[in-house]
Amino acid sequence: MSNALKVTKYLYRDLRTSITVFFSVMIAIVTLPIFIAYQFNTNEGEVNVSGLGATIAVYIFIMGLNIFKSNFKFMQMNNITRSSFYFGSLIALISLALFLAIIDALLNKYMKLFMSYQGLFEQIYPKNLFIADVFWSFSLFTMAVSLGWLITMLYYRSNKLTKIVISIAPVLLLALAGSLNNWTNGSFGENIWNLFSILLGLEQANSYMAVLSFSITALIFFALSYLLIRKSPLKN
Amino acid sequence: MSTITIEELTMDYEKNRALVHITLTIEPNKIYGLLGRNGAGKTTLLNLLTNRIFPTSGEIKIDGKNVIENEQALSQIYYMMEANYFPESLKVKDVFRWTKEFYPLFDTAYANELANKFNLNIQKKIKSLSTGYHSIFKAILALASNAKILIFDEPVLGLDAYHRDLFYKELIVVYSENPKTIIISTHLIEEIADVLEEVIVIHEGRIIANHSVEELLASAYQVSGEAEKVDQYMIGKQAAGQKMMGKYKMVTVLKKISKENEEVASELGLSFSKPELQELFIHMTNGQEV
Repeated sequence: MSNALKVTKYLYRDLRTSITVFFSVMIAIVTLPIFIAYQFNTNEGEVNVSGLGATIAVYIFIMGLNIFKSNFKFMQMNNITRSSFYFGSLIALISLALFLAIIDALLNKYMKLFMSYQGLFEQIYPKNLFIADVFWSFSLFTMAVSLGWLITMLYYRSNKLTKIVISIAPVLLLALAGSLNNWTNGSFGENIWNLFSILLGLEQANSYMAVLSFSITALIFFALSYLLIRKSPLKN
Repeated sequence: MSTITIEELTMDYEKNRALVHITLTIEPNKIYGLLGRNGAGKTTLLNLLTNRIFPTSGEIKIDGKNVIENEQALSQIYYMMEANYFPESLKVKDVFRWTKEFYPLFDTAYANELANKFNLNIQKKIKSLSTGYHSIFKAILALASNAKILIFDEPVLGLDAYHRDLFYKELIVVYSENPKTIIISTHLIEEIADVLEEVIVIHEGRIIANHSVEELLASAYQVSGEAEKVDQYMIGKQAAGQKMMGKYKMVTVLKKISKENEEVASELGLSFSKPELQELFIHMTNGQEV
């Protein structure tokens, strides 16, 4: 087995507990309303759960944030090259994004049997297509985890000043966007919204446009991560 | 064979130059001591050897292959770092298992045997180990790794006398059963002196000595006897260090013993002895090159 695959194996092992806990909580959240509905003879239609996909996206983003530092150091202890660590992590993260996307799509499909349910995909693109849902969720989760991974690497490579800049940059950008919007009498915000609408295929309800946008963004994030890790020193 | 060649290696940390144009060959199957004062550049050199960090300039090769991001070259080395970068939530036995994954020649049975000898509970989590047991745990990983090159950075940090002695004995057992290149960086020079074959002394980022222990010790001598007579002997000679005990005096001289000197000492009733490695080291890192 190549060292990259050994890294993947280690990361699966490392994430096993976290994923088990996450899904236990998810299952509890999902089954509790059903249990209550049946137990207390509540009208089934009143049980309404939605947006588990967004929870998974946030979870996998946080996973991306947490998966780098300690694992990189452990792999350095074992003289694993940065490229093996990078590609091993990439395989782990992308395969986990696919696994979670399939789980999410299955939940979207089967939750409807018990309650009124709309997954994130269905809320945005009013259609109920399993494969399209899997592709869309997979690309969204991959983008989320790649962003988390990139941020944590940026922090790792940065000195104190750069860390502060990275931390306040989103707030500054939002403030700048707000000012620009006011200055242009709302046309800046409108243009941004139009751009997002095109990139996410919202107008034509074309989820594959979003898949393409998410995938390209993830690819850029992963490429930037590679540039950061390529010469990354081991440090505290 | 695992020959390490270092050519013109320089390492800068922002404005500080940690290593300055180091050129060195580390021969296979010998035990090296890497000695130097705090901040001399020992750990930086070891980190560079194992690709933990990147040099500003220069090259490090193992059997002619550059170590930078070289899986094959790096797989020949096990580096016991002074710092602890193992996941704290893992148990000792889990780390053994994963080390076996990355170092297929890792001898788990021997690691367990060593854990027994050192009274290290392999069910314990890394975070619950004391400083001494952290060192023991990391030393066991290195000793059982079966890598061709073992590097130890302060291997006996926090260890009591019994465990230090046990470590040196096991090191000799591992080396004699399966000769390999061993590099040990430590401040406990007196303790390690008998184990070493070669000594590299690094001072302010520069290699100031690279000799066999025998050569190094032969490059100086100690003369001792009645203080007045020792002073008489020392006329025209430079003392590297001296010790007084009542009327008795012992002086270290950084020169080989000549026949002429032997005759003078004999006339004065003085005796010669080999200096201690630690004493030489103190003198060398105090400004004078051997």
